Amino acid sequence: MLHLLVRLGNDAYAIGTSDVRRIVPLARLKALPSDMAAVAGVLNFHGQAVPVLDLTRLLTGAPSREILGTRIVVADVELRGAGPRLLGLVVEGAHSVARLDPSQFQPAGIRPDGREWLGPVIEHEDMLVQRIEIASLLPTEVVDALIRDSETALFA
Amino acid sequence: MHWTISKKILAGYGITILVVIALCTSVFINLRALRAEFDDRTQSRDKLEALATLDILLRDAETGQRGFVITGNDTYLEPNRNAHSALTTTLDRLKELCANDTNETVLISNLRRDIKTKLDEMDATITLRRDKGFEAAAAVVNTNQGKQLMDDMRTAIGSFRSDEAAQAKASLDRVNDRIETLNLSMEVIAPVAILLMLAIGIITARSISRPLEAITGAAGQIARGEIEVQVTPGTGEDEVSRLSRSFEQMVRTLKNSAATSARIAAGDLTVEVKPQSSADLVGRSQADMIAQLSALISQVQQSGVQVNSSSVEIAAVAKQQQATASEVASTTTEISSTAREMSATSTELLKTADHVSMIASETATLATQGKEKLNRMEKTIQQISEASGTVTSRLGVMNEKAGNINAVITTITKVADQTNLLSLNAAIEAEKAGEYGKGFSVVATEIRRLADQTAASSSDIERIVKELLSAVSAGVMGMDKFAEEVRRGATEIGETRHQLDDVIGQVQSLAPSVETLHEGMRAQTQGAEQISDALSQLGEAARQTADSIRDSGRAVEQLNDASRGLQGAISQFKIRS
Repeated sequence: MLHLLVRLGNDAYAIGTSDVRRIVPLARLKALPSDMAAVAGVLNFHGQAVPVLDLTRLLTGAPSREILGTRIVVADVELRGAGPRLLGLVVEGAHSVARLDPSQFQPAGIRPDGREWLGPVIEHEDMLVQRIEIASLLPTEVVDALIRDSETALFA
Repeated sequence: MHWTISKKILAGYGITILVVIALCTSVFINLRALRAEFDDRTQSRDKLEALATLDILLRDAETGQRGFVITGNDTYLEPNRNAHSALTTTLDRLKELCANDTNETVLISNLRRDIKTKLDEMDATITLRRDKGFEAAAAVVNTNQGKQLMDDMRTAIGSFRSDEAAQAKASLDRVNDRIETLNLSMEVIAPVAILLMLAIGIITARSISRPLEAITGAAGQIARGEIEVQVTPGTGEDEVSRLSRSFEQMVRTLKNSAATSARIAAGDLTVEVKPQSSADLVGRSQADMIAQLSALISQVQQSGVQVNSSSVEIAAVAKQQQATASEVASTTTEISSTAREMSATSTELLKTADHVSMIASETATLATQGKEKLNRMEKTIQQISEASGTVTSRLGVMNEKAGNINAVITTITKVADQTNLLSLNAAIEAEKAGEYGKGFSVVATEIRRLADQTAASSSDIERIVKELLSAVSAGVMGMDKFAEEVRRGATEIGETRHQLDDVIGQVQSLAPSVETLHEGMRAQTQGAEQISDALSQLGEAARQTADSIRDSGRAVEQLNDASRGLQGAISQFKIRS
């Protein structure tokens, strides 16, 4: 199964490519005033407004640096019964893809509360790579905010 | 308690008198007891006599009664009548004798009652015979009542007498005891008392005579002038002990006085003499003698010390003068030699000045040559300066070109990045296309590999350009520094040229000065010779002065010796400081 390899903080992570729509360069985002720190802004994706989360910030608390390899991953995310939505994720070091066998992943041994999206780990090129589960990635308040916005769009 | 001799004698006599009094008291008591025993015995004898009389009188009364009863004749009755009054008298006497003894008084009153009963019975019998005749009286007599009474009385009297006899025997024993005691007193206590008295006498006499003998012997020795006698002072408080202590003290004082005299004789005047009292003539005269001798000697010592110090001082002064004179002599010699040296040095200086003037002209020539060479050098430096300016401008161009290369590399890097992104998206799309996208996937991977290689190469080029740029800026800086050095060199050369100009000018003005120097030197040489002559004369005078001072020093040395001898003689005396 194909995985996109990224770097968050000092460690390597893998994102399954099945839900990934496109990888785009780090563009200027429409700022979205919000209490939620992880929300980086809104991306114009072929004329469609896509909310963008900063994964580095979600994991380490510090925003992603604007360097070569820092890119936005546009993916389809399933919202609790409200259907799939496009979501942008800012990641660092998105240079390469790798074919990783799902059966070779093994549990990390510890799963902190509120970080359920950090999945099992696998050894790849002498590094431990942890899988990011996009489906359970979003914090509850972000999901709630997304659902609220789609309802407003329905009734308008 | 302090045992003085009189107390000792009194104590001895006291003990003796006490023993005699005890002996006399014992004898007196025993004698008095014996006397009492004798009195007792006399009384006892009277009692026995009275009792015997009673017995006889009772028999007389009975005999009279019996005679009258038998005969009826009144003549026979007479003993009976006499016995009546005699019995009463005898009983009274007996009572008187036994008044001290209650038992005997009771016995006597019983006896008196019995005798009265008997006499009454006899009277009754006599009356009966006279009135009723013999038969009636005989009948009464035959009742044996009278005989019974008589026997009782006899028994009572008998026991009374035997009691008295027993008492007499006990009394005799007591008398014997007393006599025994007296004997003992005489035989034992008296000799003991005599011995005791003798012992006390001897002890007392010895305690007095022995220390006195020792003191007498010592006094005899002292009288012969031997004062090294040993007297053991008594420790007691009696007169002899006190005498021995005083004597011992006297001997000690004599010894001290003798020792003091010996020390004074040896010249030691530090000895301290304290007169025992105002009347101590020896002590006082010794103290006076020491004081006067000490005063005399200390005066002599002081004078000696003064003489000594004065002579030492004179000697020192003489030595100093001598030294000064020698110094003057040597100094004049030195100065004269210095003057000579000066004269010689001036001559030499003259030669040197000539030499200097020659060298100066040579220097002027050389300096002129140096100036020309410097001019040429200045031109060369000018050329170098221009060349370095050209190099610096070339380096600036190089820097600019490197910047251009950097811009190109940035573009290449961006293209590589976009290519990488494109390849990623292509790979994802190919994956989604499944089996159909497989070929495309390989192409995408290849594209990504090329993009990565491009990125790596451009990164290498970037690094090389950076190194080149830093090398260029180092070169520019080095060139700047070099140009600065060159400029400074040019300035220094200009300065050197000026200095050379000065040197030439001064050297040219040196010639007249050398001539003036020449004249001065000659005058100096003459003056130095004159000074040298005058100083030779002064040195001779100083040498003569030193000689005369040495002579006076010798005289002072002799004076010093004499004063040292005096001090040596005096130092045999030690005086208190």
